[in-house]
Amino acid sequence: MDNQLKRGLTEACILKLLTYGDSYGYQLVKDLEEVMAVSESTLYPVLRRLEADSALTVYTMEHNGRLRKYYAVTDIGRSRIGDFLREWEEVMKVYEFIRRESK
Amino acid sequence: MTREAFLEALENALISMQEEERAGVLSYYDEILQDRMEAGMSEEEAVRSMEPIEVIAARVLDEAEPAPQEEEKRGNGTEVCRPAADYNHVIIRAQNREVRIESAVDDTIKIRYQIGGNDVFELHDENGTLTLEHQNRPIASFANEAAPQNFTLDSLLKGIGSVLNSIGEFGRNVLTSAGILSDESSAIVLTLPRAFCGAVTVENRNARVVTENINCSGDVRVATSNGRITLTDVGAGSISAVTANARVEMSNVYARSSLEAMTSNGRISAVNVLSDVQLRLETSNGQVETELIDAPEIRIATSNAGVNGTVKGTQSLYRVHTRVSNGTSSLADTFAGERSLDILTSNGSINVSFAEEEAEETETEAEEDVQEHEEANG
Repeated sequence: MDNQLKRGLTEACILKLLTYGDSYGYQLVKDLEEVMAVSESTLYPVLRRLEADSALTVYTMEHNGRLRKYYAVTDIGRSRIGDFLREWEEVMKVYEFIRRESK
Repeated sequence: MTREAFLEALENALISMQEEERAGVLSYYDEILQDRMEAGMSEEEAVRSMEPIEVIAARVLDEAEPAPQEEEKRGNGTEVCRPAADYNHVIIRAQNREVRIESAVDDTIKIRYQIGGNDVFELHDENGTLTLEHQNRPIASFANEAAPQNFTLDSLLKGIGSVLNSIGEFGRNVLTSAGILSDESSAIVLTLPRAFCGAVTVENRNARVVTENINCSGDVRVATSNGRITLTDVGAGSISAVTANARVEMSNVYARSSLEAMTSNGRISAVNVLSDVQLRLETSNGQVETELIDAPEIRIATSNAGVNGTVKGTQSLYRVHTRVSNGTSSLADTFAGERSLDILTSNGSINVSFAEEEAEETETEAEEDVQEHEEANG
């Protein structure tokens, strides 16, 4: 899948996953696997980007004697899921057009 | 490979990254390794389950770029910074890029510019002369490169990708760096100390040159074509502004020596422009507008347009010589006066007056008013 496209989808998926509750890197990779295969190295820049955009916040908690980073979705992140869905309505129109055309 | 060896190898692969950012990547991978081990993998298995280090490094380094947008914008730019005292001449030769000259309150010469994919910049530094040479490939080749290849699935996906990229910043960056969108930041900006002991030369092509608020002990020479020249609040030894197919605008400009503005197919405006030696304003197919210009020798020439405005001082100071064809002149030729004013035009009229005569009249009127007032009170 195209990198740009994948990144956009990954962003939306991460935000959606976080609406079910805060999560951490390893768990996110595992949960994402059910929808789309995302490697750690793909996930990391996306998380950073979402953090920079304030779509999610990061906090550290102790876990089994070590620190673990947790990610929590923000209101900006939630509204981004809405943006994503609206944008994809447009994309789906294009998709429908292309599908008709190729018949 | 042990967890530690993996992290060390990763650290080495990311050595070009900023330390803080690199530490973030390392702690992210360390956390995932430990989580995998906690989930039941052995250390060896956990490390083996990771992508190869080269893959991780390539992706992290590649993707790290678009993340901090603001910093990146600055990061793409280059800034040359030199102590002003070491130089007596700054030269900028550029193409298709606006050149701006500004001043700052420190004692350094700074040149800022963004490097696009088609630009070549060279900096020369010899014998007190700092020269920036800029070249770029012609606009036609940008267009070819930027034109979408065939309508492939790949390019379609890219399109969708950038739609998804919320604000579309990625797309904008691509366009900007391809030279398709130009913005303020694409200008070459030269910053000088407010009083610069030296000369400045700008040779540009197909783009404007803006000079603001500088004072040089040496000469200021600005030349371009197809782009206007603007000089605002500029003082220098001699000043020369030459362009073609565009206008020259000068406001509050002072030259201790000669001052000239020349263009073709463009107008010239000169407001509060003075020279201690000679002022020349020459164009063709463009109007010349003056306001309070002042020099011992003033020469204005144009064709197919008029000359309008004011000259500082009184008529008696100037020997006036005008030549007009197919037009009228508000000035009669005179043969006395220490200073000279020559105005030439064809197919246009001269409508020029001396500022101080008008000023004197109002002053006398004001004096009379005061006298009348005093008499009335007395």
